[in-house]
Amino acid sequence: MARRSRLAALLAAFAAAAAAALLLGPSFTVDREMLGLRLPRVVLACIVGAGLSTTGAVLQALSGNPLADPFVIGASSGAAVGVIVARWVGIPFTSPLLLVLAVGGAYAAIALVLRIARVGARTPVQTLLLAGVTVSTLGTAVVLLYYSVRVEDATRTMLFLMGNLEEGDWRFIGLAGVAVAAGVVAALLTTRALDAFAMGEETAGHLGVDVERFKLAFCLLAAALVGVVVAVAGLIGFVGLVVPHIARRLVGNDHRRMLPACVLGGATFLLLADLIARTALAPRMLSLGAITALCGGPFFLFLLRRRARERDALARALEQAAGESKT
Amino acid sequence: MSAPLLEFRGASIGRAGRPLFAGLDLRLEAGELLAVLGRNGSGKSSLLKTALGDLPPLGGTVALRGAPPASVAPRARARLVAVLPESEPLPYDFPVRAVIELGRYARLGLFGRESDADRRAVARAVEVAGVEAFLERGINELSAGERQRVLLARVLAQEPELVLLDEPTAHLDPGRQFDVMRLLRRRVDENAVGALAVLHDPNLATRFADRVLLLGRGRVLALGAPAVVLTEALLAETYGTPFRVFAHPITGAPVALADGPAP
Repeated sequence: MARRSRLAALLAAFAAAAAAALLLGPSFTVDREMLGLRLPRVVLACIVGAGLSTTGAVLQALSGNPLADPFVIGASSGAAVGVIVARWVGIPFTSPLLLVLAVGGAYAAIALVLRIARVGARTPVQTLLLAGVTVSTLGTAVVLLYYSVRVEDATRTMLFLMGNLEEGDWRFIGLAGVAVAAGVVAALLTTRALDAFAMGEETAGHLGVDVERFKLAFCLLAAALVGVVVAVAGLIGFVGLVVPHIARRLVGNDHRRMLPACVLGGATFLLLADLIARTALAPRMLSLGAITALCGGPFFLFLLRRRARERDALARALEQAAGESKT
Repeated sequence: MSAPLLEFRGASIGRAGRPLFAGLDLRLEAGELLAVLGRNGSGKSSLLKTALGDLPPLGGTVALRGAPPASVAPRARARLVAVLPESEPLPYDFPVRAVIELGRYARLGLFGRESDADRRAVARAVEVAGVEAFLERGINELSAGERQRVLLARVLAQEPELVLLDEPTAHLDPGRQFDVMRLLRRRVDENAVGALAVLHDPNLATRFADRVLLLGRGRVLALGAPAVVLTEALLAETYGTPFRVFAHPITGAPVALADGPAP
């Protein structure tokens, strides 16, 4: 019961954040600024926040590792390479083809990292992070290479990838919205399989989950969500890490409650981050990707540190027990 | 007359072309508990994986109710076979109730809908395993013994015909080891399941198993009733250390004790 009321509280927080994002600004009336500039931002914030948090949750269940995040494991970077390829062959920013290439890039990165990072039946933190960082760096190298070769398009593409919600084209927003909504619904329909994966991949197989098929499906789902998000909003990091973590704290690990909490929490987080991005130094617009990274980066380090400490404590306890049994 | 529950015929067990042992002939039916004993690396876990179809036999045949295990679809396999692993914490903490309910995964309807049969099976499993007291607690908060009873409840909720157990009593104190084995034995005696259990303690095998499979270096050393198989010579060969076997002062059953020279 308490956990259900927390979901309701999250819904209220989301509504408040959406209202604030829509109303706060130079003018308070329903005018062209509100409908033409702020409303698309609000809608896009919900799409991006929900998409990235759901991806984080899915990747975390799949790898059995709560530190998996689309940005950290290089999926966002792969999608950025997709965008670069699109720019290279002259595809405009508002073409659906851009979405397809971004999704393809994200899928390649996820499949590669999860394969490299796997040790036996597990995906340990160390290999996951190392493989993710490496693939991320490779992706960044491709992006930088493009900037240095196609100098005339560098600034525009850089601004695009930097992470912002300035997308005025309702058709493109609609397309992204439908894609992310479909992805979220797909995840919500397979919460039992996600629960099973969260108990370990081997266990999932023993319980009757078609492990290989679901793994492929979940990787495709994660790639689709990240690809679409990067294609509409650029690189926005750590949302998929911070939000699922808070959702776990609030409603537990059961995906039937955890996924809805991720959708609401992700939208709320992005709405607030974007509110800061456009009001903190107004009229100057800050990079949204920088804001989420500034919140999420330290949070990530804190989680990593705490995990290491817990592991140390466990190792010490085991050593002590071994010592006692010897004497 | 249906095909045997689990059958190995001239099976060679191992992974990636490296056989660990060959020539296994074994038939297991409901109502029997078979213990597998052998030193580390003798192929005990590989044997379970082969029975599940996760490893192909390197020679001979394996059949689950007449079909090669790898050919059985995952959901159908989970309705036939359940696995009790070693008692280890899960990657994420879940309420005990959710863990047990997931035993019904292979029987749930479209989009995970639960039926009355699902709820009844879970309630029965909870009662048999005696885990009512911690249904709402997180599984990772429990002791190793409690956790193993919860995982056993999940196995029971699965309502399988065959249970495979991989060192189900590792990390448990003697009392908790007996809890788990007693529960399993009861289900076997009700003729509900057949069980194949990898164990490390010959005395648990004597106490609870109908037959024992002894695996030595690269071959099957013996297969038979505990009293026949658990001899000093065979145990010494199995584990590479001298053993003493003597009669239990009350029951007369064989008691085995590793008895190598102390340094």
